[in-house]
Amino acid sequence: MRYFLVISVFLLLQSCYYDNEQDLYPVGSGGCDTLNLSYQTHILPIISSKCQSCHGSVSPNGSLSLMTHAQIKAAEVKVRDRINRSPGDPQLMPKTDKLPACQIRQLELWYNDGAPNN
Amino acid sequence: MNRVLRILCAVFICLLYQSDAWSQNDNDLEALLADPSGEQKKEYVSYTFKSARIINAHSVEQTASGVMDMRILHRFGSISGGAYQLFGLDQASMRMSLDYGLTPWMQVGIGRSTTGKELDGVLKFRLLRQVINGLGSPITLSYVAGSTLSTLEWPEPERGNFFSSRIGYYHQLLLGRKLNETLSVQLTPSLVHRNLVATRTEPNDIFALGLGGRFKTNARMALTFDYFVVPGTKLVDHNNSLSLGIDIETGGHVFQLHVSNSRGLNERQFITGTNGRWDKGDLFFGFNLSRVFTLRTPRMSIDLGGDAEK
Repeated sequence: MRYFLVISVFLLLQSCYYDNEQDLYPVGSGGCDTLNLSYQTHILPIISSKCQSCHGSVSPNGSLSLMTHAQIKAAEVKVRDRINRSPGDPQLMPKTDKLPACQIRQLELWYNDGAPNN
Repeated sequence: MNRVLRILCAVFICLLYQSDAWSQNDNDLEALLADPSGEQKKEYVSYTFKSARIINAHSVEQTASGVMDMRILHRFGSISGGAYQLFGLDQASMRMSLDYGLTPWMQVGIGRSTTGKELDGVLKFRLLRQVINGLGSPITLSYVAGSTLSTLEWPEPERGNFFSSRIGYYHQLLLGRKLNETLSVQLTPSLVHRNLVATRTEPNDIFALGLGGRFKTNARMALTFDYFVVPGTKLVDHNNSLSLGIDIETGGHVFQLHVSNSRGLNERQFITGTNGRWDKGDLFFGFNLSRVFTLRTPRMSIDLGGDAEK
């Protein structure tokens, strides 16, 4: 019992870290660029490589086309929902594999900024 | 929002400290039961809540000494998925946990959630117990300390990842009061710490205030709610977690059915990671199932030590 308490207190008091991914993995060292997000540089490459093969301009899946900035902006609710689904969820997008955490974060932050066309 | 919160807190604090109306009614009976010596025995309130969790939040109840509480929590997908997804039942996540009462005042527990493949450990200490009569604490006060550990594969394995980045901690004070046989309330100031967050603007430490309550409708059923508000949050895509539920007790088992805007299975998840919205119908059905097993029959002296003052 005494040992248990000692171990518990040790575990509770072990050091906290105050890390964030922007400082820990700065841009250029393979980190996630979440500052000054640009539609052309960051968002469009994700959409074109991961979404547009199914959500193109001709008979897109789910009648959802993601070809133009206006369409991507208008689809905010659906995009946010689908990319954040759990693996195994049939509604997770893209169907092939969940997006890397960095790309999900970039999309969310870009939408948070009002989805600028920059 | 802040105004609503302030009003809610004021109401809760009033409820926590209002006069003990129900026990006053029993004073005559207690007088009859008083010790012949004239000293009144101190009696503690029991069953402020039906179970060790209100819905998501820890309650001031804890597992009795020598008793193991096995809990299985299920959280389903969005109800807005409609009949095709059977209103979310097609997408289940779950947490299994074992909580054990080491002493009448101390409980330890471990759990594992499928969401984030997260392990968690928790310690719960009861510091004060509400008394029915005489002088004593008007509330039950407990302290909860827990940590969470994500065991997910690193999303970007090529970068220098640290074990500490997997860990989060939480600390809570539980201030609960049973107002009468039907109504119990609880305030839960909480601190959640995450070792790694995504951006510079997101704080590692999150302060939250939990409000919870139970309204007992009959001997076996109760309506419950819990709500965690994060004041002035800088969290991205965050909403406060609100859950409404029904407790059903069936001898040894407690079923807790609920609807919530959170799918979170531990404190880190539902306090800092709730993104569903009630006003958008982004709700999730879930249930908790609790079954207790007596592993060690406590000696009478220990048992009474926790329940009644000699």
